[in-house]
Amino acid sequence: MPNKPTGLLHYLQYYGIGTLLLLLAGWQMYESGWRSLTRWKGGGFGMYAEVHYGARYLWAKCGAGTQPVRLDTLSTQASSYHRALLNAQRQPHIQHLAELGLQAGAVLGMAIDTLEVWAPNVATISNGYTMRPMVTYIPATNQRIQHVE
Amino acid sequence: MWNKLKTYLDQQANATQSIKLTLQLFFTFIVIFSTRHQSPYVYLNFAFFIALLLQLALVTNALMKPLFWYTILFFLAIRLYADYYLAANHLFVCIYLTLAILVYLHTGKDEGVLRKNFQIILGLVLFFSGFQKLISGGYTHGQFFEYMLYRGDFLWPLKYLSPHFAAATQANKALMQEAAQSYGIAGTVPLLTAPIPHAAAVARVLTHTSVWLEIVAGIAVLFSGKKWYAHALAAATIIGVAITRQEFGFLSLLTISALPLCRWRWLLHAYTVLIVLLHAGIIIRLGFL
Repeated sequence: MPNKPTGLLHYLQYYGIGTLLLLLAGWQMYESGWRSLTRWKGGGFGMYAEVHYGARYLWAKCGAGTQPVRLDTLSTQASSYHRALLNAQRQPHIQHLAELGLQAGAVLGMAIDTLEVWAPNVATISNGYTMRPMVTYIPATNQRIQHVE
Repeated sequence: MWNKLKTYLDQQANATQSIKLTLQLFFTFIVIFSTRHQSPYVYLNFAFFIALLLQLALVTNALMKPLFWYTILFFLAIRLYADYYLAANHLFVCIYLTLAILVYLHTGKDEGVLRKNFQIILGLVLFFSGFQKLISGGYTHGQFFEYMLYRGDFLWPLKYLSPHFAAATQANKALMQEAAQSYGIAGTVPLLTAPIPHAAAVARVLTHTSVWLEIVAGIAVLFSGKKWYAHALAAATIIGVAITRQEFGFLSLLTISALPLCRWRWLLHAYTVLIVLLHAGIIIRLGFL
């Protein structure tokens, strides 16, 4: 029987993994609370704490007078590489989602001036199904507007 | 008959056997997870399974050898590194459990070390899943579960038991998909069909039950993992979630984490049956991974 370790080694054996879990879950809570990461991802165990990130839609506006375009529905028009880019609603992090949206727009020759992420409005579900904007992103000024929940 | 039952109920679980069973069932989960989870890394998956199967075929008692679990850790860690923000929470728990097994194998198979690590992992995961819901906007008002109920993603057994529930949720889903095609809230607001009477009230009650059960179960497991009430709370959470949502994969991981904490043999058997049911449910696609 080996000698029982003491001090730091003992702590790491018993509590090292728990500490790692706490640090990563804490980091995820910061990311989801302040930087728009979905609660579903990132190791914070917030599944079913909010609407699934797959139910979000990415709309692009290309100037006044033009119709907004839902980027994640254009997948059949692009090659497989660009399809991956266009599958933007799978991206849990809004920052990544915006970057992918812009890349997808560039591939499709769209001069996007505003990107909007919409999600189901769960607050009014028994009165009818509506969507609400979660985030508006303006690429030219790198401005991100978080809409109040 | 009663005496036999009483004897069975009084039997203590053998710690070494519990841990062996834990490793076997966790390995089964890893196989299901790796084969069913969508992964773009075909070559990596292939190499991983060759490495694992070779060890199983050639190494005696491979599950108790560190190399076997390092192979699994390597595979899981690559996937986590490549897809950190896309990886499901399962992957995080799998890595924590694999690390705990490796620590156990490197500390002269000290059962106390494994038990403590599994206890902390289970307790913290349960606590965080409750706490995240508690601090999430519309969740505590029951609106999120109500939305899930209207979609048929909550109280899923009703899909098979109530024709009205099945028809209403299917129609609601179709309306939601149609509404998502138009920008914003232009046009008329589609009215959804309530799948059950008093859906809002049911959702609110179940929301509060779910949040507090998870938080209290997490704290109980964290501080008294071997006590009967900690198991009762953890089992109530796991079974409750299995009935309301179809998170079979994650629930299986939670149940596996509870195995080494069993003091009684009957509880070990009950958890094993639950894990087998959950795994079978995933394989036949009754529940999600």
